[in-house]
Amino acid sequence: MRAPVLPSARMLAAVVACLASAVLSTVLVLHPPWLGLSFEQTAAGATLRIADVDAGDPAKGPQSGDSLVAIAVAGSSAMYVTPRDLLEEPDFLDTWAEEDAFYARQSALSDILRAPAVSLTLLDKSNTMRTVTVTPRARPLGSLPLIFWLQLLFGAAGLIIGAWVWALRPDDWGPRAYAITGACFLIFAHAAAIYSAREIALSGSLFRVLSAINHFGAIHFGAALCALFLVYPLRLARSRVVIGVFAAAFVWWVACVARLAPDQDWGSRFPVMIEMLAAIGISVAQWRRTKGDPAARAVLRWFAISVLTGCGAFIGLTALVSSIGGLPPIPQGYAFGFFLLMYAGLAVGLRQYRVFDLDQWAYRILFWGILVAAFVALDLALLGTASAGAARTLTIAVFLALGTFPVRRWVWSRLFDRGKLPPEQLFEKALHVTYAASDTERDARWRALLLELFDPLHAAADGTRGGDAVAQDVELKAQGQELAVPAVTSSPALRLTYAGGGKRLFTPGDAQLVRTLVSLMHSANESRKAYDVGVSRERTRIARDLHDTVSSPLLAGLAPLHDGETSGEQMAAVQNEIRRAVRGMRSVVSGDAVTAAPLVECVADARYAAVERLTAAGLTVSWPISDLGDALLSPSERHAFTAFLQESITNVIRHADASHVDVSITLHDAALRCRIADNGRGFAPDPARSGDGLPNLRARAEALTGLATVGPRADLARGTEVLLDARLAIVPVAP
Amino acid sequence: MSDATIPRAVQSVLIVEDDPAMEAEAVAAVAIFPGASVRTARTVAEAERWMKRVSFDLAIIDLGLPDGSGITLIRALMGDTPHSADVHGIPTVCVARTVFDDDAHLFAALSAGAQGYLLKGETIDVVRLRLQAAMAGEPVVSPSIARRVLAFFRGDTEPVRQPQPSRPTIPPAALTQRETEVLRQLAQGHTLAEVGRELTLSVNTVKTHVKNVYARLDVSSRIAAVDTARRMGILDDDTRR
Repeated sequence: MRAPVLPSARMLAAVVACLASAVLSTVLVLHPPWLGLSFEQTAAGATLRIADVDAGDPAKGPQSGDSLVAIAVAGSSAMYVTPRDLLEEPDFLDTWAEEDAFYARQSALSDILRAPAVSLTLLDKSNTMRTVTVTPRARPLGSLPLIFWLQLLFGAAGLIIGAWVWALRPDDWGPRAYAITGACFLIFAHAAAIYSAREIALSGSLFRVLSAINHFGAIHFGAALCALFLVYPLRLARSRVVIGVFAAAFVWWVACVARLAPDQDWGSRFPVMIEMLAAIGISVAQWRRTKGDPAARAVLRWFAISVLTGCGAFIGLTALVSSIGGLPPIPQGYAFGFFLLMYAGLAVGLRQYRVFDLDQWAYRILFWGILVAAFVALDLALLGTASAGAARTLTIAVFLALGTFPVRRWVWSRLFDRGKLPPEQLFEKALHVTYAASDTERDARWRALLLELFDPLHAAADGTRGGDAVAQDVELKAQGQELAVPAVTSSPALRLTYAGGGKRLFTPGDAQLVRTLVSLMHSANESRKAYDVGVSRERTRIARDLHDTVSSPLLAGLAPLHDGETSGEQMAAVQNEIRRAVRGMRSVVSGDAVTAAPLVECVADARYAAVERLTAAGLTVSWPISDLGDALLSPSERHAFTAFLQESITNVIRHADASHVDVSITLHDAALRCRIADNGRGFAPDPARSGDGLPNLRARAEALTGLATVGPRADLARGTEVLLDARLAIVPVAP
Repeated sequence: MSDATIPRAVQSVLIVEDDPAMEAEAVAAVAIFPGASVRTARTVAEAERWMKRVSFDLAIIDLGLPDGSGITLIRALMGDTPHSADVHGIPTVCVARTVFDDDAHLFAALSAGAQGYLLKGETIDVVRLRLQAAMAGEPVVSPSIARRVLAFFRGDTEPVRQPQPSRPTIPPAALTQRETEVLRQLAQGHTLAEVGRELTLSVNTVKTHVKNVYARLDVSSRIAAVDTARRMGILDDDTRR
């Protein structure tokens, strides 16, 4: 199995190729000795008018405005120089003979310029001829014209954008063909950059090689364009056909280089134009085939417009014009800029269409590539300036390098050193995701966490790409280019592509991390569900408790008030009910009703309250504390028990007319017995007397699965005795 | 320690209560102190203005006031040396008043120096009994408070859930054998008098034990508060500066 190549590696390769080509071009163009002259762009006319002179001798040397008539090795016969010698592009010539003559003259001129001293025959503005001797010197970087740099830049941009698409989709023919157009564009643009930036002449053989390279790039560019429309957006031809197109282009190029074609038209212009027409034809076929597929058609429309206008504008301006015998209206170097339309078109189109199945996320790797290229180019430029020698430029170079250092470090750290999450935060993060308020929020947080952890170039719901089964477990796919994450809580299964912004592979460690997270999330989710259930139960409990302990006494207290006329007796009953409600509310709020409580504590609390109330009412109490063991009361038992005692005491205070109360509470096994006995006027059952709480006492006893009896005291001639016999549900804990 | 058996004469009472009905109830309750002049306040700020002008024998303070907690008033009234008759004179007897008898409310009030507490909704007889007990210097110890104090000195719980959580970092001074016994009895529901009989102590001795425990509770929570403040950088660590 082939080890996967990361997108970043492909991008880096493209960047290196661009820079190498740019450096090589620069070296080649700087190599010939230099007179320090630049000429006016006059295509017609008999002489070469000097536009500018670099560091010339103001008195004796060539002056701006002079015309260069001839050059000679000092002391030998001179050779005339014509504007045609400065022809930007030999393809503008029409016949092989013309081209051969052109190269021969270039070689001759180049030989003269290599002499240690060159004499220039100049014609000044007053048409006075004079001859000056100049020593050709090394050409400095700064003398290269803008058009040279533009061509380097155009070529580099084409390759980088082409490589970008290919880096992310290396196995599809569409991006591949597109990337080949970019590479070919770089080839012909850089080759042309070299010869078009020459001062007067290059050696004919170098010129011929560069021209051949230029043709190679141009012909294969057209082939790649045809190939592109053959496979994209719909696949119209098989790979064999696509390769056949390239093969044909190669054969034609060989024929052109070997001069098998009758002339320039057949050698280089016609093939390019034929390819262009073919590309248009194929895109029309694509247009027909994409009928009924609006998405593909939208992509095609955008793509075809940007590609065909870009290429068409260039070919129309250069190849077509020169094939009908003219010269292009603007220099070819600038016209190369038209090709950028097709690359910029793609880069922009990605924002709107899924060109090549890419999306906005893809920009990151492009920007990364551009940034790498920019930094290295900056370094090379600084190096070039510094090597020019002057101490001043060296200082500036060093200063610039140091000055940009913090910026670089910042950019680099943003791009490369994305902080890893400390493992101790994992649990916190998992909880943060799980406890999001809604499913949508939870899904968003989960995705955000995965992005934070792995910084993938792309994350999408799994199963959207046809044929891929939705992951059930965390899985590394495509040798670590992808990580499949199963569905978790509210999030669908996800597929993360290209970790670390496309600069690293997913590792088994990553998979393990996600597995841990997923299991954390699962258990946290279970807890959350349990918690939700608990909250809902608690709410139900509070509602029930409020009903039992607050609402019912309030409603009971309200009842007597309906009559309008309220007796003092009834008022007292109302007050009593309201107090019960307030007490009930306290127990609900304090949560007494939630957990089981020791009987000892319940009795202690009840005793304290009872003694206080009885004392306040002027009664004495005898309440021995007996051993109640470790018995526990359930919340409902506790409520009923406390209420039973409170109401019994209330009855004594309000109705018994007593001075002393005896209370005892005993427990044998689970049998609880309460006795409240007073020395009052005795028990007189009176059905007319409301609010005495007897039905209440019975209800409390019921809640304790026991029985309440109210009757005359057995051990005393007077007084009332209230008895509660109950069975506790919670068995005492064995000692 | 002041003699707890002789009831103090009540000449001046402060009632801090934002609810008019509850205020009326309190005013009715303090009628047991004949001849006492009663001032009422609805907010912490109003109460503080009264406290600057008048010295009170008794203050009945609602814990939940519109502009703050009654606890701050209790602390202010108790001054820096709570639970002791000192050179500044006899401190005001503070009684906290609250709807909820949860430990968080009562414990905070008691450790701030409240002598007693009233639950809203109690009968006027119980309210009067409590006020008289407070004036007689009887500390309030319900079984649940006693249980909580025991738990606190065992180190099981925080003393008070106050707005600024002050978790003691130093263990509170241990209870004496006697104090523990007294608290255990109280936790079972015994009254102070019953505890005295049970342990063959005078009632006054039992009261003294309880007050000592409360005083220590307060000191403990104050040390904890200072400790917290220092950690939070509110107070400078003066041993270093």
